[in-house]
Amino acid sequence: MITARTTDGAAITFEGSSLASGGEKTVFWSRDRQHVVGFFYGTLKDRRERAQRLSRILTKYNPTTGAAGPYWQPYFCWPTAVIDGEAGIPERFARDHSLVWPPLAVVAPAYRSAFFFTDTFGNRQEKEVKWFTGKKARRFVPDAEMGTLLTRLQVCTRLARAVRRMHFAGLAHSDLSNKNVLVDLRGGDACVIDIDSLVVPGVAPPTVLGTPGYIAPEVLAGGAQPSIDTDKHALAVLIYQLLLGRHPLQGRKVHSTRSAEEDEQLAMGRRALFIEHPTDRSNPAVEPVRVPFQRLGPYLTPLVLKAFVTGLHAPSQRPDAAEWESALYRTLNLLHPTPDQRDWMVVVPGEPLSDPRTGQRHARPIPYARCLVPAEPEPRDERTTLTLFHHLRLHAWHTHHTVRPDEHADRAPRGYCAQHQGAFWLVNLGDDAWTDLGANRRIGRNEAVELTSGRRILMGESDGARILEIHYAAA
Amino acid sequence: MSTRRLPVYILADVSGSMSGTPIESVKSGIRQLHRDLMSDPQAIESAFLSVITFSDSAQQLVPLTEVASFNPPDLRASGQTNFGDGLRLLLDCFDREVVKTTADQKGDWRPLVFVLSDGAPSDVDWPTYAQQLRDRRPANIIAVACGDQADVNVLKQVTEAVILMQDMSPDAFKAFFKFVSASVKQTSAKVGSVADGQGITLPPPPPGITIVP
Ligand SMILES: Nc1ncnc2c1ncn2[C@@H]1O[C@H](COP(=O)(O)OP(=O)(O)O)[C@@H](O)[C@H]1O
Repeated sequence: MITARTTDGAAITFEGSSLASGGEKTVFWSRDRQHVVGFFYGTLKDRRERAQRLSRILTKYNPTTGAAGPYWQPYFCWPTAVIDGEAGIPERFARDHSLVWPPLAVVAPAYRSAFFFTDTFGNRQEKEVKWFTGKKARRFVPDAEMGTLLTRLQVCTRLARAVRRMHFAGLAHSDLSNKNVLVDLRGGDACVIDIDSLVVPGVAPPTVLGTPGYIAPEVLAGGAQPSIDTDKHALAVLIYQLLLGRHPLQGRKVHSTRSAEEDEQLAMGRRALFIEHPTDRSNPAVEPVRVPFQRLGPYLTPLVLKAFVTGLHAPSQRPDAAEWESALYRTLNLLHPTPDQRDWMVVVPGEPLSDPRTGQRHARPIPYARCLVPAEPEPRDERTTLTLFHHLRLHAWHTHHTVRPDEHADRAPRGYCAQHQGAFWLVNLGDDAWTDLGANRRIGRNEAVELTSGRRILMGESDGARILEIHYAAA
Repeated sequence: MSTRRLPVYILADVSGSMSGTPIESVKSGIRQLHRDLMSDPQAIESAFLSVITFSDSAQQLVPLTEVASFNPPDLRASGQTNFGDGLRLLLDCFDREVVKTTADQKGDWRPLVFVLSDGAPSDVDWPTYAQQLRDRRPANIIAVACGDQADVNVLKQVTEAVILMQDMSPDAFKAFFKFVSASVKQTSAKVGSVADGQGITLPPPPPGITIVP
């Protein structure tokens, strides 16, 4: 055990033998195994800038402290302290591990246990995105860990939300990739890691360009530096990969026969082309596309086009993290269990009600609600729908158009949907009474209203309550 | 084939002087390398391994195989150090196994080669093949001179990247194979971000190993 002092004066005790090492740091467990200490090893050209960057990441730009801190903590593996200087580190220890001298280290919370899985050989592995998107790697992942469309959308929502929070503070991650986020597809959770490589405004630009496959085309083509705009590209690639299981730019088109390296440089850079481009089909996917991106529904489709068609080479046109967050969340509201009940599918009224993976169709019409905002003389159409099914719980973000399911939301259930004797019902669980507008009937706590087609229900007496107009999507 | 392959060749000297602890260490090093790569989804996806040995003549013990199907080979040390035949077979394997990029096919990444040798070549042809490797530059080659008998200058004719492993203890080999696995992981994650023709960047070698300037 070694004890060192962090820059805030606290003592940290950690194990003398390392747990793992990466490209820049060798990592040690803290005594209580609640934290890890990552020491930079080898040579560090910009030690001073690094130390400066770390201290700003800890303080000024830290979303995990302050009033909303506890909400954001699970979204990031944010450093909690820095060791800068000798600080009690034995020279011998530093030599044995080839550490940068004087030492520089980051203390961070240990990854949560949900971010590890046991592969088919019985080995404990970190849930890197690559396990779930690589064709070969996937063979070693137990089926239960692959999650469903519901949990994958939740993972993406959390990822978009975390990135939105960083960008809101003016921070770019600069190396957002399949290595720097952990995803729990089973539980619908995600966590951004490798925070120490963040680009902090005012401190020297990043030393790495990023990870291949996630580097924005303008960076690879030369010239541009990693920034919030390039993060937007990486985020879009990750979301597309997590939802569809393929890379949006890795197609069949060969750009250079001189070398694989040059070909890749062009394919991801200057000549990057979406594999599902609506008009230019010259870079088709390597494997036939079974589930085209349009099956993600009306909210995600335009964002995919913005990210990989209009915005691919025009960074300012790319959707930002907040747009993804909102579209992902609205897509969650369109989900319905698949006919075999094993997964989820997006229900789009007017489109076939078939599971894109198995082709199975729903035999019976599916109820859904058009969301309206009360207004005179006619309610305003929010252009958003909510798919309804047996056991769906309704929350404030369903009943109120002013509420988002974010860090501010009240998470108590307000009601639920139930199928009973062949009919669908909504049951109120809250004190805010609903009104069946046609019959002008009040629906108080524990009372129910049947979902007949065309019925309009005002979802509360409080401000911001929406009107749900019931319809059925034909089977 | 969904992703490009990263061919990784291990070209190991199994001449008589390697018998005993060194050859056992190389064997367990390869096993450890394989275990390590099996925990890296990127390496599982793209790395392919091959083992070539040379003594009186050269032999490809394991053809280029994806990490998930790779079986670490048994190694035996005896005979002379026919380095030339090793290099010849390596060049031959490149021609046969490494997929070239053509107008309608995405080829493999530039191979990564680790050459291990503890002695001086016993053949006379090796400079011809070393010359070919230097001229054609078909791969990123890292050569390791094991022990004090290894001829660093010979390895220098094959590649600029020569590292010296003076101590031939099991721990030194273990550290070396850890370095190999870190290099493979890093290369499989980073290829594509380096401009063509530029060398790859490798992790720093483990303590006890010096890069020969
Ligand atoms: N917070 C953590 N909890 C558990 N393991 C960690 C943590 N941080 C790092 N590690 C382990 O250490 C390895 C190297 O850390 P990383 O941050 O990737 O270093 P580098 O900056 O050198 O890439 C990781 O691959 C992981 O296995």
